[in-house]
Amino acid sequence: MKAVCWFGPRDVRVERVKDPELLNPRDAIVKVSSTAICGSDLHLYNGFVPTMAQGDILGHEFMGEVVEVGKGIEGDGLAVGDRVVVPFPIACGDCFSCVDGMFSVCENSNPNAWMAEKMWGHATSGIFGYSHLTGGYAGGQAEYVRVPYADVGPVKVPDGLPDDQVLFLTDIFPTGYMAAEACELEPGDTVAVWGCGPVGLFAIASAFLLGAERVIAIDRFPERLRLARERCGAETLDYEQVDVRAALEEMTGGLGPDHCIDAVGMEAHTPGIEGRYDRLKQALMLETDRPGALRQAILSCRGGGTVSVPGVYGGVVDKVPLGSVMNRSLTLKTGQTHVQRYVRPLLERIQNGEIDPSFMITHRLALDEAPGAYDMFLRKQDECIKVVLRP
Amino acid sequence: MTTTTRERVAREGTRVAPEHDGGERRRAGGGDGVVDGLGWLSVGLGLAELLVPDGLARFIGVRRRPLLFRALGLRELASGVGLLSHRRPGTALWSRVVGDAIDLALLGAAARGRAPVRLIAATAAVVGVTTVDVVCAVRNTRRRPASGRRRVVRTISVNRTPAECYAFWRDPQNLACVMEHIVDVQAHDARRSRWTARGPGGTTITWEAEVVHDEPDRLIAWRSLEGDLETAGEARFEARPGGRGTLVRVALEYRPPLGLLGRLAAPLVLEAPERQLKEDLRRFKALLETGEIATTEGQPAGRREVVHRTLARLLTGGVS
Repeated sequence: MKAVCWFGPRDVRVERVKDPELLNPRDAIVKVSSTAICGSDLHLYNGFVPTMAQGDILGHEFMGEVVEVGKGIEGDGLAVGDRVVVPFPIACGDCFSCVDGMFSVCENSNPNAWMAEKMWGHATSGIFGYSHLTGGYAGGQAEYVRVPYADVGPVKVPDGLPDDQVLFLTDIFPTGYMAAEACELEPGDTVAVWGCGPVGLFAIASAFLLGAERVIAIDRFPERLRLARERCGAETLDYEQVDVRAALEEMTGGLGPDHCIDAVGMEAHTPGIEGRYDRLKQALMLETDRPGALRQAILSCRGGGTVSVPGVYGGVVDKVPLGSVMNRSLTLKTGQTHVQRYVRPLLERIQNGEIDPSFMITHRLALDEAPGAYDMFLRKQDECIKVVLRP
Repeated sequence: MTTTTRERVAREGTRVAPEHDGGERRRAGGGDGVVDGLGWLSVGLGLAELLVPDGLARFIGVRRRPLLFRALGLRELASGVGLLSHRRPGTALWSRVVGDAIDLALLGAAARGRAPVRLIAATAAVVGVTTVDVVCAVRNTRRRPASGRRRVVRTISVNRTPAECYAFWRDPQNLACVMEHIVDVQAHDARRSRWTARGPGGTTITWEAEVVHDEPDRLIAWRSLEGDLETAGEARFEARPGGRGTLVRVALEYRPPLGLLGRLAAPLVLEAPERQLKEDLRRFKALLETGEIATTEGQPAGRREVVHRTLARLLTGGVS
């Protein structure tokens, strides 16, 4: 089959590889009908996530048709022919964490748990196509993919809904939604969202679904700010044109937004001396991530508010104002998304017409065009916001 | 802390905790005042030799040799930093002993034909410090307890009842599935079994084992009877509070294997036993909770160059 493989920083290629096989009783094989490139794939593309190996198959946002199931998938679970979306975290459903709903910290699905423990103290779940730290599983930017614990992750979707409307249930819609949910919104709340990429846009839309009064969106790319404004109903700030903290104070009567969402993560682009400082420290390997957006979100947030972080961080960061978090009673909430929790309720919202997630798709390409698509997405050329690949 | 927790700590803390690290690195962790004292002595002396070599020469009554003194100062500083960093204190202490020998040789050379009081006093001081250095170095080099016995203890939480965990452990076939180096287990009866483990170069080692203590749903203890490996162990199953499954606590003890084959196999079976036990327990938990053990072995990947094939193999279950 054909698959998008990682070969090094800024080097992905479409390769012919062998087809995946069932390896465990609870596995299924899914024939991929649609797969997307995620903003977090760019961290891999740029080489910022350690423990990638040459030839690793990328991709954790995918859906398709079940073509084979293992002996352990019984009864009314999954059957050949089902059309499913597959959550990006791989979760067993049986351990304490899964039973507790914390699927992305599943205790059994990461065969390289020892490696993750060295880096993070304790391990996370496995994730499709996202480095060996998270299990080294082959990803879904391919014609076929092996899905472990297929009786837990995949969710059947009705035939009436096209791929474009349900594909993002695998990651970015639940990720934006969980970030907004973490703010425990109350009537009248104002939310500020850093980053108007797909996760940021879903965070904005979800904040409104959950009852926010106002959302202020921060980015620098006009096409992204336009989507935030026109499709999601946010007020927008271009951080290259205005002083964001001053503007937020001005817009909120000096108090700051009630809740702040960092949908940027580890590769923040920060203007001025602060940005240069982070790039230098990162180059000298004195910090792994550039937390510019997180710093600003913390300092901007109203006392007693929530800083919610769906943006991906990998290692250690410098000069994060923890004193501001502590002294001003902020709540810090974050986590890889527990997608399995959200697929069904959000699918229902899509069916009810509350949201049509396909609005952010800017490019529909063939799998073969993946290398160019990565490059275009990275450089944000051609107003690229979201790429969907069809194998 | 509740009374029960305190009781448990009192009951088990003394039994389990002191052996927890296999007894290896305990001394290296610091807390040895003499070693620290020697470290600071090295730093102080090293700085004096580096910064005021001439003054020091006058003080101990030898000719001025600033270059030599500065070189000696650098050596002292290196020893001092080594000692105070608490990494491999044995090595750092032996470096001091070597330094002492050099110092004594130099003092002896300086004293040829004449022996002023200051020089004699300096030599006496170095001899005294040398004695302390040698004693500390020998003490910090000794590694294992004389018996050579190794004991490892590991715990894991399993989201099943103690009875389920016990029943699963009681079946040797299950253990053969989760223990990486075990290739086969033959149960003779409910108590006796024959174990076969992977040996060097495709060979195997075997031993007979017997259950010596068996409390249903709570505890199993075993020991080897005869064979290539001498080992004993126990597994305890305690309910975690709040209905949160079971705490499984396993203690293993090995003696150095007898015979040539056993000694060759030792690295395979005994290498990093803490980590190996941890991985074995992780697979035990996975198999019991989910009915399978997560793997990526056999999945597709793009062409890898030789270096990356090795890297990928290392990254894919390259645990032991």
